[in-house]
Amino acid sequence: MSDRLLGCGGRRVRQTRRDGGVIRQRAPERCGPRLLRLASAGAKSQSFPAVHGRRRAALLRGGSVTVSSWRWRRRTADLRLSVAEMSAVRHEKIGRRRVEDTRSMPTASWPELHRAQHTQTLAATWQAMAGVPIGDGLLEWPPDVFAFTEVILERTQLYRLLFPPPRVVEWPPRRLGRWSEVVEEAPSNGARGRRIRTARLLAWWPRSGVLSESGPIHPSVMWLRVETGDCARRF
Amino acid sequence: MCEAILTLHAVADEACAGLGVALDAVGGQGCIFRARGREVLARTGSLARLPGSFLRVLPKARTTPNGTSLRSFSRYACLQRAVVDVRWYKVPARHAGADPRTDHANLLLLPWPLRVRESDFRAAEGSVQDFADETFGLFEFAPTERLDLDLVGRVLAAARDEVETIEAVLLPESAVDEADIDDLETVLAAHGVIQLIAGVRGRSAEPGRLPRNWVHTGTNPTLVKGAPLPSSTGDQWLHIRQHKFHRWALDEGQIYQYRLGSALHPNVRWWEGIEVPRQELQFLELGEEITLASLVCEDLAQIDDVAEILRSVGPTVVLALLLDGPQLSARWSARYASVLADDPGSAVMTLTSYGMAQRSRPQGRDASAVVALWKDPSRGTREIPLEAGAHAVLLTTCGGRGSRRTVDGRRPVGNVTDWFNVGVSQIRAAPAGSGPPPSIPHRPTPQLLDIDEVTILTSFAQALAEAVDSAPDRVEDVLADAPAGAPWRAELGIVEPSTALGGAFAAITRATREVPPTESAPTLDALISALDSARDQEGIDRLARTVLRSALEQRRFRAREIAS
Repeated sequence: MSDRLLGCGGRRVRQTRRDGGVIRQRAPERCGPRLLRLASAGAKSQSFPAVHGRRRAALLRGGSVTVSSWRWRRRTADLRLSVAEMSAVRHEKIGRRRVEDTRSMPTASWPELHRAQHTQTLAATWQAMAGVPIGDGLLEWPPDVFAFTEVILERTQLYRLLFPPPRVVEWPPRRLGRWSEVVEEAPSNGARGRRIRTARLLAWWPRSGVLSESGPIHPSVMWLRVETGDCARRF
Repeated sequence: MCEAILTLHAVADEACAGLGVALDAVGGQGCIFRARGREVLARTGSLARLPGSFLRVLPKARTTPNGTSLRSFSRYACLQRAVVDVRWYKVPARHAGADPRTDHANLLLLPWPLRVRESDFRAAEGSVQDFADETFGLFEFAPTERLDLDLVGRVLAAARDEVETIEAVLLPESAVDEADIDDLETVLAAHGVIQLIAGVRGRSAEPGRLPRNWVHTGTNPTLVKGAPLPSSTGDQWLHIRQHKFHRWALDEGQIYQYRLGSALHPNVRWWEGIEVPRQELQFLELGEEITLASLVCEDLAQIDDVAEILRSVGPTVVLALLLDGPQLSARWSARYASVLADDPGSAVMTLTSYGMAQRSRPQGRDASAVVALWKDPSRGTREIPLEAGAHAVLLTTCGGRGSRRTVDGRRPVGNVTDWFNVGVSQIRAAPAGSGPPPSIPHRPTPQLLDIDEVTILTSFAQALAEAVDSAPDRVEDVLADAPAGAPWRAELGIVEPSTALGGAFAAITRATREVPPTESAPTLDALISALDSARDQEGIDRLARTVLRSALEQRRFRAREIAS
């Protein structure tokens, strides 16, 4: 019994159940391009239309999806496809590959790629760009902090929000008083030498929340939220 | 979130103040942090402790006056992906006793060779090949006119007759053979010149390898501009190489333009036969608070990662040495100079040889004598010709104050040095026999410190000056932080200082403790006086004290300016 899963475009084909019933199903080779488009566009999991219910849950647990080959179905040759596999083969051939062909393909599954695209965290992004994880030591050296904030600003382009229209952020922030003087004096006020900086930066850091495990934004926050400016409005 | 990130970004940026050019904006409290940061920069090419193959944090010498890009949100640091290697050097060469912001420099431009023959261009043997339906080959440029050191001496004599001191001598791309550098520096040292910036034709390191082409920046280790002429020569100069990493391609149009048809066939695309090394960009910070970057010819025209770094760092001056036609404001070099003059606002000077300018006859036009072009954001473009009968051009430049700005709401700060030209004079060589007196003995001496070590020593001296001026209670901490064995170097993953550098640190420590004890800590004036009174220093002691004196004087002038 093949699974009904491909309601995602393409021409409808007539198929017959084992129990004799007749269903209409779209041709899988037409589904391939759409799946690939979805994958490359970074579609949200909720919008993935082809898998539902228990099969979707299995998919999100890291499993793969069994897809019927409309052409090979009569020979009972099913295909186990993952996004990586679909990316690896030309989409027009998706429906024609045999099981043994696909087993040699990359083993990354849809959830892995899906998570990589949709749960790209500050921590993951920083590690990919800087080659080191976020750690407490980051705060001890101002050029490292500068690099970290610069990466965030570059990737999110949050700085655009300062310029009207529309002005999303109140700038300079009124609650910090004379902002320019505050930031200019922050590195040298208070204690001595490097510890001043660390202390001052640590004082600032919880407000950003990106590093604090107990802060409003966990390091594993979805990158998408920052990128869309959602975080800017919420925090 | 946005507010917090931007505020944190601004705070971190402010904390990086003074890590590049020593600034008056910074107090003395962070002097140890800055000394360490400068040493990290000298050793790794980045201020950050991150792996060098990923990201690179560099000091920012000036800020862009235009735009609202991310670059406009910082004024002391910038972030780059580590595609291009970067080296940052400090050489505290300056006029003794002068305010760096009202300082000047006399640059002697030698647009040599004065004659370029067609036969100076040659096809590399066996290099013509067909590839992808195109015929290409490699050419070599080796002028038959050798560098005339006697003429150099006579031109310098004539130029010193005009302005008393010459701080730097510049020659265009490929003007000097690699083997002539030491002799040339000896002649310059005899005339009190501090810096040589010259295009060098390298020689093939081994059979089968192509030669290299680079800008040679040599610095006289006396480090004092305008000092009396030396009694002897022979000190090893400090050297930097900025390699050329884009080959010049001579196409049919250029072969006609430069009249090279009998040497290079016009139907062949001729690539410059040089080795292309890994891209590396060198910044040189001078005692007048100038940050200098040099490029070779084609590298100016390529909008690539090097250009991106230049735009982010914003050096005070960009020098481009060319093997090119006349430097007219309508030509390509002026267009690319304008790019850097507009953003980040650097002064850009291009220099070619008179011989190449004369060879260039595009579409039957007359030759032009414009050998150099100066472009800066405030005073625009200046074409600099070499008049008939002249051998060199004397260019006088001055420094002034500029502002650092950001678009994130921070107040502008006036701690940037702008550099602009104020005068051009034609120099004709003095009569034969008026070069350096032959009685000056030449005593070759080994190099005391290499350029990296001088950079680190300067960083330490600047930190000490900051502490003496603004945080006297930190002076002993600074002195204790420098020598080998200090644990912070291992924590930051940088190498320990060499024995010679350790000796230089010790010399600075001794000089600091020579100040007569008073109830309070030593002052800038007291320390400078102590350095002046200690004479007959030689070797590493002399070098270390010169570096310390330069840093102290820089700091003293800033302190006076703030006080006034």
